[in-house]
Amino acid sequence: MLENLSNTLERIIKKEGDISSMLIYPLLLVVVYEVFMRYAFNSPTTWGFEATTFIYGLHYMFGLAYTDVYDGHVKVDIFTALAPEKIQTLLRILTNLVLFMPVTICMSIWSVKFAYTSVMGMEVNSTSWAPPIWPLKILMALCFVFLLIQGIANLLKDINALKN
Amino acid sequence: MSLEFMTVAMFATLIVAITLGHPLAYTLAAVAALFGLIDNGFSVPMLFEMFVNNSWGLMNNYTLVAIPLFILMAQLLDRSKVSDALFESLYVVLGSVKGGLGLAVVVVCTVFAATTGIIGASVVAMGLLATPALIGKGYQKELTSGIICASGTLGILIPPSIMMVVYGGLTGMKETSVGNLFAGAIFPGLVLASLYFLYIFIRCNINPTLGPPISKEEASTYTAAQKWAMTLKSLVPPLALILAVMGTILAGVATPTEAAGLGALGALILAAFNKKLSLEVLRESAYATLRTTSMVMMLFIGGKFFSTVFLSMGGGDVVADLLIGSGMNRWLILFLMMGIVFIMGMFIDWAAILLITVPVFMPIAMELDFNPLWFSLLMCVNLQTSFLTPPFGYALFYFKGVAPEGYTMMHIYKGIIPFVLLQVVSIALLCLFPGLVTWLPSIFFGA
Amino acid sequence: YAGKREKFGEDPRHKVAKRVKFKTSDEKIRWKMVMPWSKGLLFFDIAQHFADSVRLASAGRLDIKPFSAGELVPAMQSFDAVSSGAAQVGHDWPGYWKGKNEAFVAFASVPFGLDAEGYNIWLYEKGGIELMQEIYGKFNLFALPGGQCGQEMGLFSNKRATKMEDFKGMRLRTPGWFMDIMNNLGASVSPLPGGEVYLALERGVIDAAEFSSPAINYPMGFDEITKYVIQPGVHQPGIQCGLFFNKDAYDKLPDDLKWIIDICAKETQLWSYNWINSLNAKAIRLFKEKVEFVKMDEETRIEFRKTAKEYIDSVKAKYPDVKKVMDSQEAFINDYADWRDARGGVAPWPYETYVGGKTYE
Ligand code: NA
Ligand code: NA
Repeated sequence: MLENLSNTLERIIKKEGDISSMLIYPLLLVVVYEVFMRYAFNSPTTWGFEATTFIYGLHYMFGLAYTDVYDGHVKVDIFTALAPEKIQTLLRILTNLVLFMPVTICMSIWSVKFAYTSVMGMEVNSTSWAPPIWPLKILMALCFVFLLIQGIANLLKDINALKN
Repeated sequence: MSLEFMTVAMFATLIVAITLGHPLAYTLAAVAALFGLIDNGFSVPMLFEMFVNNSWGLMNNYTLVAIPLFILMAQLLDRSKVSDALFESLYVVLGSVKGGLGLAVVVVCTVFAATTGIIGASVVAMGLLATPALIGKGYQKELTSGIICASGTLGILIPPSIMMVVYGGLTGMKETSVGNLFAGAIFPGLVLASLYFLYIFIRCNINPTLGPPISKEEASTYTAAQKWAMTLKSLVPPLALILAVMGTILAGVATPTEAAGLGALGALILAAFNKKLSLEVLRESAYATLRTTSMVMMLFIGGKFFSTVFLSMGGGDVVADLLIGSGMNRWLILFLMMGIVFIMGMFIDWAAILLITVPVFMPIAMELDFNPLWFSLLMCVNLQTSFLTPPFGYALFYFKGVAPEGYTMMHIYKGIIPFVLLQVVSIALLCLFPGLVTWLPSIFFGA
Repeated sequence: YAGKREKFGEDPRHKVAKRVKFKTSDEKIRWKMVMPWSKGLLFFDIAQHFADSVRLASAGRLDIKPFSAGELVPAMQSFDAVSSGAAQVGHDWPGYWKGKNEAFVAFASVPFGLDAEGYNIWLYEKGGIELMQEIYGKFNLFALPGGQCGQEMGLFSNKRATKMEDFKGMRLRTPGWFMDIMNNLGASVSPLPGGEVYLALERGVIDAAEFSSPAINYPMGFDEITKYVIQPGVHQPGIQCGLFFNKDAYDKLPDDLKWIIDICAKETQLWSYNWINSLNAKAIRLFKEKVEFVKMDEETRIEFRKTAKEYIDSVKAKYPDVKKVMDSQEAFINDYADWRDARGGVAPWPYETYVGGKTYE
């Protein structure tokens, strides 16, 4: 049961990451287009810089949980690797509960609040182009929730491993 | 609790927490949260409002846009196998010299360091490509791993480099703009590469069993003219990329962020030329790019939380008062700061170290009247060392991941020590000849 | 027979000051102050000056610690941070918060709008502060003017431009309302982030850029990489800074500290103008050794003025808050015009300059 749930959660995160990893190509396109417009037509865009940062921001935010699925976040496990498997699992559960969960839960809550304030004010960027930025803030909150989900999936997996 | 105590306690807690093997970024955030709460009278809303604002700020940092683009560039280059051709031709050109294959590795890595902004890719690529050749010719295991780890790490120092991008983004100063850092890093990078080169050459000439030359027959498969033609031909693609990235920055066609985009586009075109471009390659490159980018950015988030709380507590002032207030000689203070970064580098990742130390050390260096660009480059060379220093060195782990059977971590640790000493020598050289850093930026940017 | 005339005004604060009964307390309050300024900018010193004034006047009871950009929160998150209570006070150039409410620009500087004198009179005497507090109040903030830096320099440029057609096709960097105005005039404008300006200008990515007033610009070294400065700085006749406080934190303050904040904010407004402009005089002399100063001709300025008016009218039509604030400023400008004209012609030029015919402002 636990394993099924954990696998389902990870599948969702993988799918989300696979899709959003493609954002790198629109990012590349916008950056190159901006240079090209400036030199070929002497007409830089008013939106290039902002569009670039928006795509970049979403790209890595969506990847936070995705990277965790692949165990890609760097860690100093040279010491713990010496311990027996069971101790390692226990330690993973413990660090997850003590180090990861409290911060990620709070980040999820407060980023939702942050987005809520922005949506209420229908906030736009403080620039000439002035695109709405409340959707981006919603997505940022969503990404922290994804990270939380991935943390829960890790926890379930470790608890399951401990049981067997 | 006194401020001094809190400052020490925060670092001590971090070090203990890190050894638990939990991802570094999350650990940094958790330690930051704990001390943030102690500092602000346990107001959870106040702390997390600050953290959320910081996370949002990172999403709007134009300078850092270069990071995913440089990573994409490295991914595409790796898959288009452009470094293989250069190594193969240098294999016969330099192979007949004592230690020649090692020298070939240094040259290939130096050239490719100027095209790619991240390490990892180089260590893994050269590990896979060159290790079998070196071992097959009887190179000592320790020396082999040292050569590949150290040379493969040059990419983080020789521009373009995401370390410089991060550094420039942190200081926001004209003197340490990404463009200036790039220009300033060229000579230090070349000095380091030359030191590696000389070391391998001298050591293998003293004791040829460490790195014997290839056989006469193998060396004479091609004529000298053929060898040079091959080498020059295989140099064309990397040189084109160097032109696309560093060329456009120095010639004023593009900002560093845009140059990263042009570099990635160049790598894409190169892959297409080599007939390595397919939907599959594009997909895989994108997946790998996202994983590496998010790893760096998660560290950025955690490191940012940590440095924010540290500065908010007044920890920066504590360290500054301690160092400057001590009345010590400024060079001794510099030595201490470099020592701290070096020791941190043995345990923590470079991005985390930058995020923690730059906001504290940079003002101290300025107050002591050190040239900010020169100081920044000392920091960067020092941080390049962090990839190599045991026990926690990225490059060493990457290499272990691709090393052939029979390689223990001990071989790698032993092999890297001489190269770490060379790093220290290079820092000393930069102190003796600061022009190595400041001359080129003054030519290009008048800084 | 002339009617009896009253004394022509009174200080409304006097009544409050006369009746006040303070309970003094020993409570020590520590606040954090955030801002979009790095330590290298003189704006940081202005924020710090306010914090120092408050500490001095309150004998350390209210201890405000300034944090430069990025130390606590990123530069552009200062507003959100104070609004939500992550820090208690912020210093700003209100135009940065354009995306929250377009009217913030009007409290910062308006192209061809209020100068230093204008902002002082409008804010303190003509209802400006009340409007400012109304707009900031929508975000759980209490606000006060917090520094006036006078006129900005014009464009540092590698292209000489004095006539309208010179600006057509020019690639330049300027943010805010002026960016749209320049675009309407046929220039091509990038809103490059501050940190990218030097490199972009130096490498020819852009032809021209404006940043701030002379003393603030001087350390940036723009004069080393450009040939001209195109004067005057029509985009910002007066740089007005603001102080903003988290409302919950401010409301909790004892009355005496509230008065200390009020008086110190005014003192900061006064000091900053004198300080920066005395530095500007020196900076401009240094600049003159490196770059040529050119002036837009009168015809061009009038053309700029017309375009600015059209643009600002269009913004007013779109945003009711902008209309309210700009109407108030424009009413003041009209109201003040008679006096401005009547007193004209006695600008304190050096004697020789004046008798040589430079009798205008
Ligand atoms: Na590089
Ligand atoms: Na290390």
